Amino acid sequence: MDTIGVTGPSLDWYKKFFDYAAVGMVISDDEFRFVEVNLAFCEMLEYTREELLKKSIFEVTHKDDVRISSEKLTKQFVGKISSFHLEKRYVRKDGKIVWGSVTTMSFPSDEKGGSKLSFAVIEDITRQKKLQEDLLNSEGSYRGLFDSVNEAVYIQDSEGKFLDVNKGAVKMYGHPKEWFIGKSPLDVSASGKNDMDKIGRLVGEAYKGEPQEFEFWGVRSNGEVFPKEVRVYKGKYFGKNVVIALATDITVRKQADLALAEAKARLEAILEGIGEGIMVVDNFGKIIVYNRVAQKISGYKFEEVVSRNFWEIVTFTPEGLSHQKSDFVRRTLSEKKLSEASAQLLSQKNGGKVLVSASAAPVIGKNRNLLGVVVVFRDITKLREVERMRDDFMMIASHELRAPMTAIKWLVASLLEGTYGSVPEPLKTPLFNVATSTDRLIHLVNDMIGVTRLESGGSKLVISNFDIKPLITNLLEIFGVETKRKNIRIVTDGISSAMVHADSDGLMRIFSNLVDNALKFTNEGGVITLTMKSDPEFLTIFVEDTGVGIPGNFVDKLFVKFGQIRSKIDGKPVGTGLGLYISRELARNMGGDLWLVRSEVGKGSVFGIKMLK
Amino acid sequence: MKKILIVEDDEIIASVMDDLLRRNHFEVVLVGGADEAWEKVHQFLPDLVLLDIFIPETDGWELLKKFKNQIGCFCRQTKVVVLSNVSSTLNDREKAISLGALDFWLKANFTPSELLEKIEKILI
Repeated sequence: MDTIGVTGPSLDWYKKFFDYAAVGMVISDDEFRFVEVNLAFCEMLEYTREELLKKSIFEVTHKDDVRISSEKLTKQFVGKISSFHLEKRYVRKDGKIVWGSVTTMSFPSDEKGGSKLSFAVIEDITRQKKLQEDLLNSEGSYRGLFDSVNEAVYIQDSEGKFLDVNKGAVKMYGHPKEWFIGKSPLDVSASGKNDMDKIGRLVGEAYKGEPQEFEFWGVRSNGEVFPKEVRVYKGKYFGKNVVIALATDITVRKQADLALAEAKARLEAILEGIGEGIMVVDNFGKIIVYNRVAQKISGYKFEEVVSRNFWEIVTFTPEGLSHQKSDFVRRTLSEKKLSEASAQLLSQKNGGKVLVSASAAPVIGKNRNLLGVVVVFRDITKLREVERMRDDFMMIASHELRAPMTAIKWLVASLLEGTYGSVPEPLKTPLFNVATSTDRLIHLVNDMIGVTRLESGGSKLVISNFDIKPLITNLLEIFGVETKRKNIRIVTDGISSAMVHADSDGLMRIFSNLVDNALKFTNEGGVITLTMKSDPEFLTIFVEDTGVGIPGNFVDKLFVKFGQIRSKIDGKPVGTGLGLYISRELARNMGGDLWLVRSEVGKGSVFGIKMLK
Repeated sequence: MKKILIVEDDEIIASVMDDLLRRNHFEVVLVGGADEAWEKVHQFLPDLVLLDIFIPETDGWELLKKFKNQIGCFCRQTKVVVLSNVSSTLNDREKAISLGALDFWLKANFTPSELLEKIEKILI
């Protein structure tokens, strides 16, 4: 240290060197005051030399760096260290921060060599620091990006080990970031669900520069197994070649796919399992669905009909009109309305025809647009056969059952009338009971046949326009004997000629039933009155009797099938409970109605029959 | 004595009718099928034919048509009433009348004496 000024340049030269050096230089004392400062340092802090010489070091040191500066300097002053290096912040005169790279050494102030002064060289590194900070910031924003993407991102080395993972990965697996580092995909693989060899190969390919995609079943920290979709690319990470893997949790998508697949499978199972032939055509009439039964009925395989215009292959002709094609499917296509075709002959591949009943329903989209038409058809050949057998059976049964019943009725009546000699008194009641029971039996059989016909659609209504008056006259004739026997009058003065739109047989049945009932429940000398009312749409006829009336608890059951079976009104069996049921059904099938207008016990009842005009 | 031909295959019903009508002074011939009926109508020359619809060989409707359409036959003028066990519908009645019968009766609707009354009314 004592070489200064002895052999080298003059002190003045040193002074100049100090003053004009390109780096800041200061000398400070052990009270941390500036003893000398050079120009570069003054310029650095934008103070004059005079201003600085009045200040302590800490007055121009950033408050956060005061402690470290004071510690280091103190150590140096007490001789624990002879020099130190420090990057610290100064506060410029205008308040701005200036970074300095400080190198100090102790500077002997007296002959004893005590380090009471400190010499420091300060380089302005603000620019470098700023660059570094920018770099840090940009790394930070990169990190932010890395963490903020929804996907899980993994940085893997050539062996597949995780070097870094983002927050997405942490969230996906539920493991902290540190957990991943050094682990490999095998550690997050749901055991047995992944082909790890294949995945290893794919990652290897990606490492060579060929991006890859695959599905991977992961297991979360809570043990839950989930599917994810992974894309792997080649990338660089701190200068190292790595594989960057991006993964998306596809649990929801898988569930949706699964639900969709299930729904589709279910629908297909329904279409295939259903007993009806089903054909679906798009809005151009091209066949898109043709189920098993449709194939069986028509003889065409799905491959033979798919994408073809339905009218070229699947043709229907109305039964009995073999030269006319049915257009109910086209009608549905054009009118977007359900259409039905009851008896149709479907052309088969082998040239044959099958009797089917068919319907066509439009498939309407969300925007009310037509997506296509669903055609359902059913082979009714067997049904037709059964229907014919049933009709035959009904015919035979009704005849065969009623013939012996008529015989009994006639024989008993003949006995009671004394045809075969006078009947002993004790036999009269039993014989009379046989007669009553036989009548009930005949009635029951009639009603049962009526119901069967009605419900099987066997008795088809023949609707026509006709005058009601002759029908009523007929009715009087039919009941002539009965009314005379019971001394009951049927008054039809209120009935005049009027046209109705109905089935004459059906109407006759309804009136017969009402008059029959009225006769049954009206005592000798009573009156049954028929009146009519006409309005623009309907003709209504009222049948009023002076009978026993219907008790309140019967009113609800009146029109119910078998509703009154085994019931008695005024001691008389009501009957099968089928008559009014059949009559009402018939009336409604004709577009009219039948109802109880009013009834009073002991005074009589009024029924109304409404018919279309 | 008025003559009645009964075409009825149910023996008991036929016998009740036969019994009833004989007692009431009608001359009766009973036949059980269409062929016999066709034969007897020419020999017996009845005033009234009581014709059941369900009879063997040809059904009653066909026989009725045959009676009414046989050119030059006495039977065209013969009164015919169609009888049936099956519930009467207006159509059956209309059909019977349109084919030339006088009426259509449902057997179970009457007792023998009521039947007799109706027959007497026709043959007055």
